[in-house]
Amino acid sequence: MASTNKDVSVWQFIALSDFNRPTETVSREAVTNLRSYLRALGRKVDSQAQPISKTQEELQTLPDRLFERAVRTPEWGEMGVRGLEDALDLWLEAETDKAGIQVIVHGPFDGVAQSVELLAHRRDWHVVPIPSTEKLFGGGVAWQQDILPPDGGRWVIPRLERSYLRHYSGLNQVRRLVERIWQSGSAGLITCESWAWAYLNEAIQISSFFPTPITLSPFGVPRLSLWLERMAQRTFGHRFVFRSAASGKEIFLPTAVAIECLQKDEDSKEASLENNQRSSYLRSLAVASRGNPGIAWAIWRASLYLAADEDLDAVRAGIDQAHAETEAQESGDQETDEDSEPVVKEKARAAARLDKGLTVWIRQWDDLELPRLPANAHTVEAFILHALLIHGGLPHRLLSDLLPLQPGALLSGMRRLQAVGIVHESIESLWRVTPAAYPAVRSFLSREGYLLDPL
Amino acid sequence: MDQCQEVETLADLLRNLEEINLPLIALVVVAGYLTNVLIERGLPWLSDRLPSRFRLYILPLGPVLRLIVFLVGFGLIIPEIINVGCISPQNVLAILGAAAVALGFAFKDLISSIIAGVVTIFEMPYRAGDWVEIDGDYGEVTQVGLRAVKILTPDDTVITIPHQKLWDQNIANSNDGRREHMVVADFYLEPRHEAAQVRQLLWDVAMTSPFTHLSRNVIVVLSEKPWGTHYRLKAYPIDGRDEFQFRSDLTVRGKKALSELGVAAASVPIYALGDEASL
Repeated sequence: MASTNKDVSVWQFIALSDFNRPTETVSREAVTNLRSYLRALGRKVDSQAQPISKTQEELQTLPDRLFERAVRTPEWGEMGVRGLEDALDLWLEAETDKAGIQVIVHGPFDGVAQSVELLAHRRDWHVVPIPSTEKLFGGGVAWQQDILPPDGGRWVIPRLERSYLRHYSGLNQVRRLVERIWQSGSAGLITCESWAWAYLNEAIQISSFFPTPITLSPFGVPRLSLWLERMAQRTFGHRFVFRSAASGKEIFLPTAVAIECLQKDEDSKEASLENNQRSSYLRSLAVASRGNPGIAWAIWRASLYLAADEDLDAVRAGIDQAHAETEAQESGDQETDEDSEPVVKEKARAAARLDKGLTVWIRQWDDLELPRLPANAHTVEAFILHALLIHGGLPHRLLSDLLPLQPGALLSGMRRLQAVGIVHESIESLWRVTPAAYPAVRSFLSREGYLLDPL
Repeated sequence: MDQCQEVETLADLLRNLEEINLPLIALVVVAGYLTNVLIERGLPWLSDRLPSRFRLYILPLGPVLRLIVFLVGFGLIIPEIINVGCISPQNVLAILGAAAVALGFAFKDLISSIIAGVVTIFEMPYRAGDWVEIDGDYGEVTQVGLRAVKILTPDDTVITIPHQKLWDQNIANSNDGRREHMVVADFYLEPRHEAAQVRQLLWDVAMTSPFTHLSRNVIVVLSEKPWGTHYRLKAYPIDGRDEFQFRSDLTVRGKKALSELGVAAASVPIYALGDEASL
């Protein structure tokens, strides 16, 4: 039985039909919706960009090595491989002519596609070559000839969302591709982002070809607690202690509690027993990220907080303390305070005084400055964002081919979204929605009536 | 009461001028006017600020609220002008009987429209935000007043239509309070082509438009004509206000797709036009 954080795999897969995203209490959700409506009523209709989060600038006061230790960049591929192999054990054990095709539908940024690519590399599976999106736009299905391994071996399409374009010729191509691989009778693994899956379901009824997809189990409070704590490396022999800057309460659940909740598959009930001892931040994070670890990680990074020089002095003092290997006195029950004051650094510091390690403050959830849509965002922005999501990213040139927008309007819309941190150009030269902006983007598209993903 | 026994005409019911609270009446009129202005401007402002899905719930509140304002104002003013204590069924019948003939001829259209306006509030043949066609005029209902309805045509023309059209005209409502309504794009093709392939292609054209409401059905129907084949591509936009942009997008991309397929447009004789709405 798992007893330490490292023993527990938080990457598990379930049937897509069983996916239930983390939810807030009804009252809290009503307050959140009311706030967004009031914000909409009070908005000024202008195109001025809202400031991007200042958190990263503040965090630059923290030495880089400490920041990377506090919130290590995940190795996305490696993390999910073990859970993937567990989920696919029946498929892996079956013979290739009986295994069939398994589909994995996953959210954007969650690393599942990287895990599948890594698994395919390790097991030497054939990766189906998909042309670039520019070549797909040219039409034609000649590239689909002989894409499956001739020896009947296992194959993988790691990113089905990159194999089509929302264009009449692109739709024809993906329809032919799906029919071809479905009729092949071979053993294959397909990964598809959830937005593309939702679109292809409407356009070509893809779920009738592959009716039992699986997906990554949602990251609720226990899973997030175990995973994010695991991402913080010990430094100088001492761990990081993450506390709410508002209340001083610790963020993470005790490891044993989190493991128990995970094993009992109880997300909210048991975890809430700890709420009087722990900050509610993780609940808010789980809800906002919809159980997606990639989005949760991006928001988590934006939440880390070092306010001023006095904080840095405290960190430096902590480093000196760690070097001198001074032991702090044991404490019994840590004092907590139910009150929430506007500035509670003193109270939070009091709670952290006896921490064994370096204290990192987490912004209060309502104070987080996550990217938000411009106040007058409407059809142009909705077209751009929806297109980027259902394709898993697009080069700018293709956006202008796929959208019925004037070049000037498209460029202007992209610039507005980029200025407020909603979209960015990745290293693959693809424009994508940023992970931290994802909650705002999804909410915007939902309000405007656009097709949403199932996660 | 002695005064009431002498009531024989409407004038007898009226209070003396010195008994009438003119400042109160003026205040009620001004307050009613300002409230109406607030309703006319406030509801569109509110519907623009809130998510689009609330728009067609907020805008139709206008006529109801204006009716309430009117009734409240009426209820406050009338007792100031008329000695309500003297009103009895016999008095009313006697007075109205004499006035009805004269008033009826003079104001019959106005009264008919007002009564029809009250009926529309309850029956809702149209409401603000609906796309309707009345007596050959098509456009979006922007305001439902007490006497008339205003529609804004695609050419940005405001047409005011008295409610009394309700009695004897058909009112075609494209969306009936819903956010989306069907848009149809027509294609006229020369007869020598593979119809199944064209039908699939036009369906793909609709499914790949960013305007398309993907959860609503896309339908392609066709009928054979002496001069060729008439296709009707029927789909729903996410927002009904994008009707014309949507139809244009379908037409532009549909023509391009058909051209790439090598399908030519038909030459339709002028006398054959006019029956395209039969599908």
